Amino acid sequence: MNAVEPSSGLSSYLQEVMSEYLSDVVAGGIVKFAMKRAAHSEEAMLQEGIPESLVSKLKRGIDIFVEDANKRSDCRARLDQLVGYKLMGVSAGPAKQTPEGPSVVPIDDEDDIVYARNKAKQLAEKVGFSRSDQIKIATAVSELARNIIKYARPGKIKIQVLEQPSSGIRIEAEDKGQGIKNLDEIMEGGYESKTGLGLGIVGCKRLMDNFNIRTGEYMGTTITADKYRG
Amino acid sequence: MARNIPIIKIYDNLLVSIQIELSDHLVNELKDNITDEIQNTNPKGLIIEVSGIDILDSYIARSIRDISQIAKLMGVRSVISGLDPAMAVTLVEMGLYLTGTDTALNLEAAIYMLEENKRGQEIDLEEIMDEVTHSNRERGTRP
Repeated sequence: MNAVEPSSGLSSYLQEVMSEYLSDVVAGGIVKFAMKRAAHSEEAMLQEGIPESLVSKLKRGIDIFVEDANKRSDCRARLDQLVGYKLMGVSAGPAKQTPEGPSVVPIDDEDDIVYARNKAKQLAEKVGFSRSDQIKIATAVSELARNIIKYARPGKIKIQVLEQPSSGIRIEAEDKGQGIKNLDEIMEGGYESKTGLGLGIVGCKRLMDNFNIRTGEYMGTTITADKYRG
Repeated sequence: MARNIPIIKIYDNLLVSIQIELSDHLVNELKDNITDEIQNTNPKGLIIEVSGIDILDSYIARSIRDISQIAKLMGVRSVISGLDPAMAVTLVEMGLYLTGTDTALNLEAAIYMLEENKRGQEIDLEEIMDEVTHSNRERGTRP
C-alpha cells in the first residue's frame, strides 16, 4: 500500500532491494557481511549516505549468489544507483543538495494507483514542474499503474528525480507479467481494449519526453519514461 | 446506503459533483448510483461536475463518458462541467476525446445549457402540435 521509505535504516533498505533478487535470508547475510567488511556503521551511513566501498562489497555477494545473468546485472545496476543515497529528512548537509532517493510504490490493488499518481504529482511539484506538467506526469503514472493492475499485477512503480543530463523526473513501471504480445499494434494507437481506450501505454508515451519499453514473455515488462523541465 | 459521491436533485436536474479522489471502485459505484437515481427521480438533465477531480486518466475519463452515454440512453441529457484546463490539455495530448458528450466551462454554463435545451424542446413540441392540428383541419378531421 505504501511507498517503501527506508525508515528503518539504510542497511535494511539495501536488504530490501537485494531480496528482490535473492531470498531474504541470503540478502540479509550479504548486507551484514558487507557492512562488517567495509567497516561501516549504520550511523556513519546516516551522515554520509551509502558509500561506494560498501556497494562494491555487496556487488561481490551478488556475483556469487545470483545465478541468472540478467538479474545479476540488473541488481548490480540498481546498487550502483544507490551510491551516495541518503535517508530523507536526516540529511547532514544542506537540504537542497541531498539527492532524493527513488520512491518505490508497490502496485497491487486499485488504491495503489491513486497513491502512485499522488506521489508522482508531489515529486513533480517539488522538482518545479508547471501545473500542467505535474498533471501530465501524474496521469502517465496512473496509466502505467492501471496497466499493471489490469494485466500483470503485482508490480511496482519507481519515481525518481533526475538531475542529469537535465532536471526532470523518471518513472519506471515494472512487472513480472506475461509481457505485451501485441506491442506494435498498441504503439500505433489503433488498439482498443475492453477495459480502457487502449491508451495506457501510448498515452503515457505521448505525455512524456522520453519513452522506453522492454517486454518479453518470461521477463515481464519494464517501462521507463522521462519528463524534463523546460 | 452511504454514498461517497452525493447525487443531488436540483429542480429538474441531477447534479453530481465529484470532490474526492476517484478510484476505479468509486467510479463504478457512481455508475450504479446514477442509473438508480435517474430511474427514481426522472430528471430532465444530468450535470457531472468534475472541477474537484485532481487527475483524470484514460480509464476514469472513459468511465465518465460512459456515464453520460448511459444517461443519454435513459433519455437524460448530460453535461460534463468544470474540466480543469491542464487536464483538458493532458487528455487531448494523450489522444483521448470525450466524443458524444456535451461539456461546459462551469456549473453555471451547464445549468444554462440544460435550461436552453428544455426551452428548445417545449417550442418544438408546440410547433409539432400546431402542425398536427393544421393538417388535421385541412383533412377535415377533428383536432
